[in-house]
Parts: sequence; C-alpha cells; structure tokens
Amino acid sequence: MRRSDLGEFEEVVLLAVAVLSPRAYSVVIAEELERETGQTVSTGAVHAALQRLEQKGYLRSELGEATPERGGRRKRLFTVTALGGRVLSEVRSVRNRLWDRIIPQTILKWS
Amino acid sequence: MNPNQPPPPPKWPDRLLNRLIAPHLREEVLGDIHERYALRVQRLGERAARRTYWREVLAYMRPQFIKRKPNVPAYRAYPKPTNTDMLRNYVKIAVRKLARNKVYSFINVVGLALGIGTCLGIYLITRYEFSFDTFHADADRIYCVDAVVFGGRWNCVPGPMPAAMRREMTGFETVAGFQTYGASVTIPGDQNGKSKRFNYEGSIAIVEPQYFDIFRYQWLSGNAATSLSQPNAVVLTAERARKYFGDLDPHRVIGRTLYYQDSLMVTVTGVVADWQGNSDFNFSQWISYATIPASFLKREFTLESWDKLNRSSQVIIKLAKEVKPAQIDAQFIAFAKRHYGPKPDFSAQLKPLLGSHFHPEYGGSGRKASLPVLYTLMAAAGFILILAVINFVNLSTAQAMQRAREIGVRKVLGGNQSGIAGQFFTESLVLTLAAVGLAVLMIRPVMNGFADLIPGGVHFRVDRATGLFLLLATAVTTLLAGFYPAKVLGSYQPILTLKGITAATGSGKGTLRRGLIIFQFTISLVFIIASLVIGSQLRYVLQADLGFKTDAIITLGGPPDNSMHHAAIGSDKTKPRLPPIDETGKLAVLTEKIRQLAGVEQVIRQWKSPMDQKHSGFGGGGLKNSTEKPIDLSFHFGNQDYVPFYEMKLVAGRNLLPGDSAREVLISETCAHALGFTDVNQAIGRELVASPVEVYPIAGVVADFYENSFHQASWPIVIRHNPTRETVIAVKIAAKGMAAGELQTLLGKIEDEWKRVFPEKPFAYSFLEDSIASLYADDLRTERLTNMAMVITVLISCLGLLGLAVFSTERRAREIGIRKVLGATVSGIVVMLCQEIVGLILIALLIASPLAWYFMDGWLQGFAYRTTLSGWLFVAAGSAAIGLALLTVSFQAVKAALVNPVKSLRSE
Repeated sequence: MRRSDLGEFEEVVLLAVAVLSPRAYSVVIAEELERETGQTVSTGAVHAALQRLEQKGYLRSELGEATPERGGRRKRLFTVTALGGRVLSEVRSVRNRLWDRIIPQTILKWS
Repeated sequence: MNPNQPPPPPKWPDRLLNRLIAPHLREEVLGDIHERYALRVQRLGERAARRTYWREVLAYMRPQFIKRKPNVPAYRAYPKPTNTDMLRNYVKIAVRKLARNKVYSFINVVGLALGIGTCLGIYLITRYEFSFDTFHADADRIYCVDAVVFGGRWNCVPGPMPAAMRREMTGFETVAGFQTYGASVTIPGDQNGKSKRFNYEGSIAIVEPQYFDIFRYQWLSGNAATSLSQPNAVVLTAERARKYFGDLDPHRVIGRTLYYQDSLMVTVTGVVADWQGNSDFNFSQWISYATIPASFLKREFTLESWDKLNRSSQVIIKLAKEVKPAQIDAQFIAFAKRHYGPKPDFSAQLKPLLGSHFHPEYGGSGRKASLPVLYTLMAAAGFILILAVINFVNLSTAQAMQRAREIGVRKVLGGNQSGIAGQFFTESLVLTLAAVGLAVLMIRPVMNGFADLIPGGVHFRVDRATGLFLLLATAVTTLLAGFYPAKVLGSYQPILTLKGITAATGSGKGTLRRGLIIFQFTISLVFIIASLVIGSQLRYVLQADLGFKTDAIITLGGPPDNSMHHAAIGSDKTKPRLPPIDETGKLAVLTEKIRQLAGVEQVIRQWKSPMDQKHSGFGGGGLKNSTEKPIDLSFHFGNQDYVPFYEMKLVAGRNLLPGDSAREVLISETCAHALGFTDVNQAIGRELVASPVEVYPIAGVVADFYENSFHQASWPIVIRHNPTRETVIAVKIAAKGMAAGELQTLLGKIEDEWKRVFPEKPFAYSFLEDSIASLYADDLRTERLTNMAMVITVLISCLGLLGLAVFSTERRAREIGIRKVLGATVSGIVVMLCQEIVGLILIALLIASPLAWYFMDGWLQGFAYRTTLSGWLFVAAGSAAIGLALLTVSFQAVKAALVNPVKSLRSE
C-alpha cells in the first residue's frame, strides 16, 4: 500500500465513518474525532477528507434528511464501500503485524 | 426568540460562503456549519460558539470547495441521453404493434420480401450482364468493325481488311484481325501414354499478335510480343493448358505440341492466366495468324479475297487517344471506294466494345443478353416493390383510427410531428429489415429453382456492392412506405383525436386507399393480360399447322462449321465451297445403312429441315425472260422423297422425278403467286431463274408451309435436288408402339453406324419438334418470366386486399350487427362488403386494358404470324382478377356476415 493512498487523517476519518455508519456525516464525524482526540476538528477539514475518500472509491455518499438546526438543508451521508473496508483492514493488519513483532520488554520500557 | 430554537449564526460568513462555495456543495456545507454552530451553542454557549465560528468558515476556504463543477449540458447530466431512450421506445412500440397485428405484419413482411427479393435477383442479373468487358484497359477506346453490305450489317470483314486498314487509315492505336475457329484438338501422348482427343473445341481464335495489345492478359509464360509472331504457334489459357496437359507448370507446357483437325501441328508458345472478369471474348486458345498462309487453313480463311465475307473473319481496333469513332467511319467511305469502285455496295462502321454484350452478333461463342428484356425486368421489379409498399401504406392508414388515440397521447406528452414521423419510419424500418432478411435467406434456393431462367454466372454473394444495394433498397423502401403514414398520422390534431373525432379525417384517406388499390390491380391486370396474350401466341405458334409433319423425325448431324456462314459481295460468281465428293458418297452409304435398321420408317438426305434457322436465298428470282421485278427465293434441297417425307401437299403438277440428274424444281404456292400466277396450275412447266447461271423448269407446286420461326415471314420457297448440298440426314421413326427403351436402342444403333462411317465426327441428333421449339426459346423464357411476374403481382395485391378486408370487417362489425338486426340477409351483407372491390377492379381493368393492349401489340409486332388480340382476353383477365379478389375478400366477408349480431353489439 502506497503511503499517498491513505493519509493519517483520512484513515481516521474513514474509520470514523465505519464506526458511525449508517448515520455518518461531516458534523458527527468532526464531533466524534474531537471527542476521541481532544483536539479541535473543523467540519471543513473532515468534509474535504470525505470528498477525497469518495473520489478514491473508499466511500459513497447520498443526500440525507434535513433538520431545523441545519436551516432546512439536507446533509450528505457517507458509507464505507467494499474497497474502503478492504483498505482499512489491510492497514490494520500491517499495523498488527508490526505491533506483534515488538518485543514486550520494549513496550514495558515506554509505559 | 424561541428558547428551543438556537440563535442563528452570524450572517456575514453565510454571505461569504454563498459567494465562494461551488453551487452544488452549498447546501451540505452551509447545513454542516449551521448544525455544528448549534451544537457548540448548546455545549459552550453562544459567545464561545461565535468565537470558533470563523475558524469553521475558514476551514472551507479550500480549492476543492470553491472550484465550480464544469458546466455540463442538461442532457449529459443524466446517465442515458434521452434521444436513444426515445429510439428504443420507437423500436419497442413498433415490435409490439407488429407482434399484436400478426396478419398485418405477415402480409407486409411477405409482400415486401417478395418485392425486395425480386429486386435483389434482378439486380444480381443486371449487374452481371452489365459487367461484361468493362474491365479491359481503355475499354472505351476498343471497337469492333462491322461490314455493311446491301444495307445489312454483319460483324465480320473481308479477309484483307485488317492489313489494309493498318496501311491506309490513320487514327488507330492498334488494329488486330482475328478469325473464329472450331476444330477438334488432339494431344499426342508421350512415349507410352495414350493421346487425348477433344472432339469439338469452339472458343478457338486465330489472331494477329496485336490482339494481345488490345486485350491484356497476365502472361504466365511466353509474352505478348513474340509468342504469336511465328506460324504454327498457339497460346493457351491456364485453364485450357490444365485440361490438355494436366497440372504442369506453365513453363513446362511451352514447346508441347497439339494437333487441330488431326493435321495442323502447332507448338504452345505461351500460357496466359484466365480472365477474372466477365467477357464475351472468351476464347481459350489463340493460334498465330501467320499459321493461315502456312497451312490448309488458307483454303478456309481467304485472306486475299475482297469479295468474300466470311462470318469468322473479324477485326477489333483500339482508337488512338482523342480520336472520335466518327472520324474513322468517315475514312471508311474513301476506303470502300478504293477497294470496291466508285459506287461501293460495301461500307464499314465501328461498334463500341462496351455494350457489345447486348448485340447477339458479337464476340466469341458467349451468351448474349437482351437489353429490352433487362429493362423490362427492372421495371417489373420496381413495380413489384411498389405494390408491396402500397400494401404497407394502405394497411397503416387503415389502422390509423386505432392509433389516432395513441398519437394524441404522444402529442399531449410533448411528441412533435417529427417524433411521430420517427415512430412510423421505425415501424416501416423494422418491417423492411425483416423483409430484407427473409429475402436474403430465400434468394439462393429461389435462384436455384429458376436456374434455367438465370444466366449461369449469376451468384448471390454478400459483397460490398450487394450490401450497398440492400442498404439502398432498405432505405428507399423504408422511406417510401413510412412517408405517407408518417405525414398523415403526424399531422393529427391531438384535441380531435382524443375526443374520438377521427371519422372526419377518415374520408380523405379512403379515396387514396381506393386509388392505390386501383393502381395495384392495374399493374396486376397488365401482367395477367400479358401472360394471357403471350400464352395464346405461343400456343398458336407451337400448335399451328406448319404445312408439314414433325412427328417422330430425328435430324442427325454434328456441330456447324464455319463454311455455313458466308455471303458474297458484289459480282463474285464463284460457287460456294462444296464438301468433298467422298463425303457425299459416305453420306449415301450411311443413309442406306440407317434405312435398313428395324424401326426406321424412312430416311432422307436434305440440306435443312423445312423449318430451320439455316437459310439460303437468291434475290434475283423470276421467270426466264420476264421483265417483272425480281423476287427473293429461299432454297430447300432434297430429292423426290422430301415432300412425301414431311407429308407436304402437292396442289398442282407432280413431285420431283427420281434420279440425281433431274434438273427441275418444286415451288410453294406463295412463290407461284409471287411469280404472277393466280392459278397455280399455270406455273407448271414454266422456267424459273434460280441463280445467275441456273434455270429450272417448275415441276409442281406444294401447299405453303412455314420455313422460319413465326417471327419472320416465309419467303417464296423453291425445293430442288442437289446431292452436294444435302448433307443432313433426317430419319423418320416408326414411332407407333415404340417404347422409350426401344427408341434408345435404335438411337444407339444409328450412332454405331455413324461411328463406322464418320469415325472422326461426333454424333449428335435432335428431334425436329424440339429444334422447332428451340426457335422460340427466348419467347418461352419471356412467357415464364411474365407468368412469374403475374403470380407475384397478383399475390401481393391479393395479400393487400386480404389485410384491408380483415380490418374493414373488424371495424364494421357493429354496423353489420345492426344491419342484421334490422333484417339484412347474409348474402346481402356479403354483397355489400364485396361490391366496392369489384367496382375498383373494373376501373383498374379500364385503365389496364389500353396499356396492356399497347405493350402486347408491340410485342406481337415481333411476329410475322400472330394471333389477334381479341376482346375475350381482356374479359378473361378482368374476371380472373375479380374472381381472385372475391376469393380473397369473401372469406372475411362471409365470416363477418355470419357472426351473431348479439356478439358484435353486446360488447358496448
């Protein structure tokens, strides 16, 4: 897997979509990431990442319902495609393999 | 402010975003930041939310949100363009309509397939016939030379003419003289092999070397310049070389020898590839011209005599560039004066090679085509196609009422006139394609079925030209068939049709439909009348009393040889070349031998049968010392047995006396009248001038008999005994009670006798009745073609009628029901449904009769003896057409009339 294919932020966003599916859209993702990381995450950044992921074919989207706090505007709901799911699990297995090869003492030293 | 309702976010970022964000993203982006703001207000309070708001807005300041979507046309915005959607809809509706109205589709497809199939077949024939001799280099500059002698045109020239033309005239690029020749060919065997013999090889030409400058061949070995420069050299086509020498390499055929007529030894000096194109100059072997003076051929082909015109002697020329044929014809006038004195009976004319396929007197032994017949065929094909198209037009307009509502709905939903037109064109296209498919499938078996009517070289292959033709036929048929329905139905007013008012527009179409039916039946009737006339003329011709008996008579003889065809120019008084005396003796021996066979009733020797294509005439006939205008005489040769053999009737005087030295003649009644005798008895004993040097007393007068095919009038006939001319044996068989097997044995015995006397000559025989019928081969062909055209036109017209009858009885079901309820009888209703068609056919008969009379009178003019065009023929044709039409319609009519009115009325 080429590095350029999935940036770190993109990976997190993709994971968040998987977590929040089927009600994943930029606002809830941004809120979720803020909660998880403790850093401010703007919807613009999330939205931009979502668009890139959709272009790459890892996500697909459709327009959802409107709510009053949105001023009657519809939201764009995202779901992970099969390709996106495969990419996610591949990234995860690379990580897992590497994690598994770390000698337990090393991990102990860190903590 | 509503406490549940969060305070609205600041206005200015909205305005900014509305400007900057691409339109297709605005909704979700603005929705997102407003929702986020609302959440922040809930969580952190309005102040904090407002503070972070500008960061949210700034996060959207990225090119991917700002960049506009490229401007896409509306129709691209959908995955499928709408116009193919409409086309698919047209096809779907067309297929549904055709599947629903099976009768209607069947009639149209069969009719159109017949029409297109006929067109296809005739296109193939036409293309074949017009392809002849078009492939030569500079074909437009190649000409044949005709001699015009006493006003008659011959495709031959006097022997010395090619050389003289080359010497004395200008404007030619090439002049090539050639002689057509027929002979047996013998291939001597090698040391131990047997020699091969080919009895009669036509397609031999004796040519000057220049011949190959005009007709370019691909030389497999040898070359055009030198191969034919020496005597006793021959060039073969590859096909002929294989036939003679087996599968030898062309280079190894060079130097082999072969014999013509067992005595002319020639050496092969060249082999050329066969032509791929069609040509009438389909010679397969060329002997060098220099061979003529060096061999016995010089007796047969007189290259020095200006006074003889031999049918075999021809010349073909290629004009120099930019020379007009008229310039050459002008030179021929001076040319003729130089060689034939100041007032020549001879002149010459050029005739172009292109188109010579349509002049039966040209070229080698090839088959020729008749241009009028081709044009007639093309016209017939066109008419047949038009009839089929009319069926489509009639049936679709008849259906118009059922479809008016559909068209109204289409128009209301936005279909415009061209869209509706597209719909109908699609329907006619689907039908036409089905018909073309059917025609293509059927063409090969049908062409095999009519193989004897179609020239052998015509085959159906799918090549580019045929494909183009089919495409063109499809396009023309589709447009013709679709045009009228598309125009009429496309112009319907939706308001009227949806209200159900269609009757108002219906009356006009009825007139057109009637007109088209009249047209169809006019064409059909013309063909019916033509068939009847041709049939009755041929019956008249073949069953007429010919004035002599033809039963059980066999004529023996081999193929004709060149000496049969010659004519003398000017005052040449040399006698025609006679067969050698020993041949006459042999014939006498053979005659006696055959006479003794069991089953033979009588045998005579003659020059020709009473009715034959051969002709020998003299234009200066008359009584001795008479000052009357000379008359044309036609000679028949035979002895005292000739008249009784053919059971001709003597009306005055007596038969010829037996004996070889009898110098007297019999004449026909016509001849006696032409000589000025009203009472034929007075002619007996008078002296007849039968040639410039011959005068004979008249011994008797025979009743007239026909000596030519009925195309030509018989001449005044003279029957004379001249043993040297009587080279054909005629055998009368005691045919009564003879089975086919016995006949075969007898013929076998005759052949054995023939082989014993003429071992070198092939044996051939023909029944007199067959050879007389063969004089009318062209007419019999015309008859079959006309009959075919008649069957097809009548079939298509009746199919159309059937379709209309089905529709009109369906439409009038309620009317018929009401009539029956009010007391109409079944027969009354059938008459009501049929009377219109009878009226239409009567009108068609009125139009067709003068047309057919005009054409058929022209055709009959080609016969010297013909039947009269009687009125009953037209009556018969009319009643046949009416009968067929009624047969077609009445079935539907009776069915409609028998329906219980309750059924048709209750459906309301």
